[in-house]
Amino acid sequence: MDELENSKILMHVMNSFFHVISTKTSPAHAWLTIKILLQKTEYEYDFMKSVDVVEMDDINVFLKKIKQHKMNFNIVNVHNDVIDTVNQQIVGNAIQYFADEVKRYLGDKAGYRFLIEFIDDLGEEYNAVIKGMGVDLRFMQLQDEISRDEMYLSLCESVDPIW
Amino acid sequence: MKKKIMIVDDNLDVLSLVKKGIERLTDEYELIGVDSGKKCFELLNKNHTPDLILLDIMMPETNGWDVLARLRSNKSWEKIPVIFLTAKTDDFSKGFGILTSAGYITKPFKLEDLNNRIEEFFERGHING
Repeated sequence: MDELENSKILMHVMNSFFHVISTKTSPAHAWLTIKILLQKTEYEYDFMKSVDVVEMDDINVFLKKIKQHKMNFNIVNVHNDVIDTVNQQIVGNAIQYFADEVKRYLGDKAGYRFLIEFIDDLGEEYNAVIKGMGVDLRFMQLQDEISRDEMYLSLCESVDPIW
Repeated sequence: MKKKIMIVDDNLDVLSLVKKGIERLTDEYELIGVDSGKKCFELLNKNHTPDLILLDIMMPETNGWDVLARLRSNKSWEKIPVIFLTAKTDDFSKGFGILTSAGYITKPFKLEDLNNRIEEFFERGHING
């Protein structure tokens, strides 16, 4: 399989973030969330300035566009002349940072549930692609499950046995 | 000069309670209540720019999520600070609410606590950590 360009990968990843966040709040608020998270990511990874969230001059027009294009609606514009020249591992780090920020704000339980839905929306192909860039979402999911199990076990151990 | 606070909540009891309650606790703020996102934008369009908006989420027609997004997509209003004041207590709403606003306060709340949080906001620029 030919290596996918960074621009194409980032577009797909951002769209998946947008789809999942939309179901938790609203599509317009998901637009705002992506915008803020992109600004945060830009501080750490300068090349992310090449990823712009689409303009939302009128919320009604924006919502109409989403309805019209459904899953083909793109939440970001990616300027590929810069981004496609960046090393894929570094782009992977930026994606990881973005995902970690979402999880940090959501906390353990909601963060875990978000991750599952995000993995699902991203699809097998793109999960494999970003894994190759160092973003192993299934491993993150597993880590969450292990830490939850450990917490459960330590709770069980701290309870006095009933004789 | 008094700080202007706009409360946006479709529940008229909440509007009245917050307005009267806060005014009883302090005379530092000028509070104005509106019962929909539509009325909030009508006031903003008339150049009534508040120093803070207390925003409910679950409202008919335009919900609080969309009100905030519309504020942030407009150059004249994008800097108006917003604190969510809502009965939505799930982790997703809280997490994404805190990420995109200056604070997230859940109902029910005590008026003294609300007043403290508002004071905290004007001192620090945000609440919720």
